[in-house]
Amino acid sequence: MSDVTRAVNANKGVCFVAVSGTDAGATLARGLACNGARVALLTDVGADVPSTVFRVDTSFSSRASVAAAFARAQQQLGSAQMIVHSATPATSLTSVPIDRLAHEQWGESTHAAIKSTFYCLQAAHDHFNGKGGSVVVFGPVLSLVGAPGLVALSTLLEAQRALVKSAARQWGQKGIRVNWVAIGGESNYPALASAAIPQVIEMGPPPPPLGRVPSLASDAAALIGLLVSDAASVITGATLNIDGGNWMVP
Amino acid sequence: MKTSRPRLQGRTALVTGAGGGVGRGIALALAAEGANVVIVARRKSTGDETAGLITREQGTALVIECDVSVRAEIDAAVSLAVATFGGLDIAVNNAVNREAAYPLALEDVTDVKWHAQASVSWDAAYFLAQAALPHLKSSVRGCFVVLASNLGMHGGAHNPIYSALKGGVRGFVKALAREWGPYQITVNAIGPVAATEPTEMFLNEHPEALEQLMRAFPLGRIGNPRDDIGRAVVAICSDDFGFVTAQNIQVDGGLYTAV
Repeated sequence: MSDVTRAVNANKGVCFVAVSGTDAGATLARGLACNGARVALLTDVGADVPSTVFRVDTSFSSRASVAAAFARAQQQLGSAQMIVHSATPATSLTSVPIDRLAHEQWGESTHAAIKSTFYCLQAAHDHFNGKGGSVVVFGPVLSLVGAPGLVALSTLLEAQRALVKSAARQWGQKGIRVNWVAIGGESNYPALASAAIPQVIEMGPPPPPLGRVPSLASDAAALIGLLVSDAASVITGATLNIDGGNWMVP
Repeated sequence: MKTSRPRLQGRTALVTGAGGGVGRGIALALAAEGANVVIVARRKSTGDETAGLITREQGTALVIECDVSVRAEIDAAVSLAVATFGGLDIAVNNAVNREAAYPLALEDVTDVKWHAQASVSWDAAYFLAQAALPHLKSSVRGCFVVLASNLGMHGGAHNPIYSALKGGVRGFVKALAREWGPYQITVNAIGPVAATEPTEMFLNEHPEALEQLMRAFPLGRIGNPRDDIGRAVVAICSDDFGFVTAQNIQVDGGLYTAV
């Protein structure tokens, strides 16, 4: 554990990880708990979590159900200083050309998922009200470049990223910071393993800048820990890529 | 007035939300370059007004009353366009719900408010893409253009639903362009800032806002729906921009530069 992460976890101990659609939340919650944070995982998938993580089975389909899950987590762990959120339904991670994309899949991948993000941001706002806090929303990095067969996912992720900025602008004066973390590496999203993710632009095989795929449990957890710390007190509305230097944007 | 060497002669363009504002400006500019323009409007009366302006300049227009949030109506509009003009070369997804203009606190967002805007912005783009694809494939220069906004990039605080939707358009365009590239169909978004009638009305009522806004434009003025925004769409759909795809192009007088 780095000095920064240790300091973060010593001072800012409670984190709610509200992740819909994938087991990325469980992986991340495990990493945050290993670093010493007290973590509640609000989830709608059946991933295993260690006993150190308080699990709250959550429906992300309404504002009320998300608020109830936040209340349950708060009852168990007390107030959180950080809330981490992601909503990437399984349907959105399945590659389908738009002309064969069923209306139902389009709706689940875009409307339902972004509404989950609205509900979680609203719950975070209510939870932090008057005290301030840090919100991190994350998702696959691919929306920055787009990918064939993943129009709905790309639409969703860029919408979430824009919404993060809008929230950051509205709530900055309330002491609430909101940032976006883009996660690289198909291994972090196994459902994307067969997707036609674009390669970086190089004349020949691209050299991996850092030579490894970032890990949710260690690399993402460490950065998220940093974002709640005082070291990040003036960072809000930002997009931070955890992709090992793959896409160097903006 | 038609230009002396029309760049879109013989092509057919469908523009949603063409009953006024930016959509009307785009329709007029496309027609001036020789395109047959299909005016898709929520109310036929506003579409007729746009068509009247086009025919007055010897252009060709077809008006279709259509609720773009309804798949069957989009399908019917595309079918009628193809039946009338023999094909479809350009599809412009422009329509926007008027709620986008009003300020909104994120904590006040509801499902109803979301769908009011999203059905017109996202669903219409999805429906139009599905309906237009077979015809754009058959075109020698298929173009799909989506109206985005610098607020989608900037993440404007004004209306979080609008910011999210327009941010989503960025992702939509990037992915769709990669998907349709093999068909030689270009897919781009533009982020316009134009003096539409509601904008002008607001700015006339708030001169202090007008002054502040004008100072923010490097070009010192707000865009004209036809001459600035419409002509940019013409350029994107012309052969001059045939190698440009997957881009989010700001047509805003330099207002937003943090790309």
